[in-house]
Amino acid sequence: MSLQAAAGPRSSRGPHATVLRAVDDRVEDGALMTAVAVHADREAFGRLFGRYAPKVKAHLVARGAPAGVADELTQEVMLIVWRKAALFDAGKGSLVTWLYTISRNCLLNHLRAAGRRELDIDVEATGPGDGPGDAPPTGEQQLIDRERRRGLAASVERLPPEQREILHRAYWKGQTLQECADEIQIPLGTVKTRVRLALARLREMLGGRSDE
Amino acid sequence: MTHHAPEEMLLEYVAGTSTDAAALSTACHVALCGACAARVAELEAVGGGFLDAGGVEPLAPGALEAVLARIDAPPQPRAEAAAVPAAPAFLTEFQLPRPLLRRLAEVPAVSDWKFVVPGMRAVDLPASAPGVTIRLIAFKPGVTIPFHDHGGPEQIVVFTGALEEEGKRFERGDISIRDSGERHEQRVAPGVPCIALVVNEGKLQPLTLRGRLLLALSRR
Repeated sequence: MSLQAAAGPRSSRGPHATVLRAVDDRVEDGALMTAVAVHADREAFGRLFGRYAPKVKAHLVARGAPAGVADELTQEVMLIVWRKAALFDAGKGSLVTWLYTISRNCLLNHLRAAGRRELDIDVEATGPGDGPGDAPPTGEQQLIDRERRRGLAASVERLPPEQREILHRAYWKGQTLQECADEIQIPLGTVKTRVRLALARLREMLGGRSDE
Repeated sequence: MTHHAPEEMLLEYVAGTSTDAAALSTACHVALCGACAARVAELEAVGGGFLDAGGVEPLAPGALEAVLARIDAPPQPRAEAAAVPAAPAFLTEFQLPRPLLRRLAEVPAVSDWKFVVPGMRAVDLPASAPGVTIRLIAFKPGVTIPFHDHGGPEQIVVFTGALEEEGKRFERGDISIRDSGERHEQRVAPGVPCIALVVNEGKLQPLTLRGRLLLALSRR
């Protein structure tokens, strides 16, 4: 089946239309985030909310949050998007990536709320070049990194099903690799191997560097 | 045993499914390792792809209005929690990474190392699961950590000085990972003290008489 056929009747302009729409969305995300950060623009925030809050909630529900909790946490995630909009750096990654990390942190903080500590992952501070002693990446390098990462995300669909399944369980359902192994009934070592193969494959598809 | 965090460890870290102890050691390593930080960024982008493609779930009515109302409310003090705490005076010279400083800040009034065994002093850090030990350890240069096994995963992240084992050298930012059943003996490189985060998700199992004596001594 061609990509075009797979895309269905709505994308009569072919796969390029889909890709371009995705690019448009990302450009628009950046513009909306700037409007929120610089002008405290509530209308821009409302559009981002409409576009992404239902995706955030779907993810939280997939990770096992009851609907009421998922609603509450989604509000919290979007509130952070508003408050920390100035920290969002479109040069480092896409908005969905940022949302993924914020959702994860909010959920874990919620799960650990009963006297537990917060998760040690900064929403704004991950990314290449943050380690002391690293030269700051050039603008060009940032662009290359960002495009590679976007390509990486898009290439997941082309992975062999048994590799994609592990990533789906880990990322989307929030299962540990041991839980993946238990549910699929394969050894933990096999799960780890599939993770490594999947990620190596993703990098290979992008013709990326292999730095080991 | 590696100098970098393995891919599956980074994946669990990014997906938020690591144990608390593993998340801390991974965070400390990633804070000091540009290569692993770049991998984390890649892995997060894959997570973003899953969020984007995963479907939608309608929100309860009035959700946007509720958030807009909260925007107008003054921010809660908790928003300040992300600030980086300062290191206690006796640790400032070691340039400890932020995730460690945050964990240290949970220890009330920590003002000096605590003697553990000859050649080894430590600061005990809070762990969130029973049977897990998290310590910042200062090893005296040149000491040997006798041959031992682990009841669970062990991660060591070096901040200053160096640890050596099987001809490999672990320096600032390097992570050494051992699973249960992987026995080893380590030596602290001569010269300067080695300061390292040592996480044990199971009990140490000394395999030498000297090790057993040291362990008994450390429990006093």
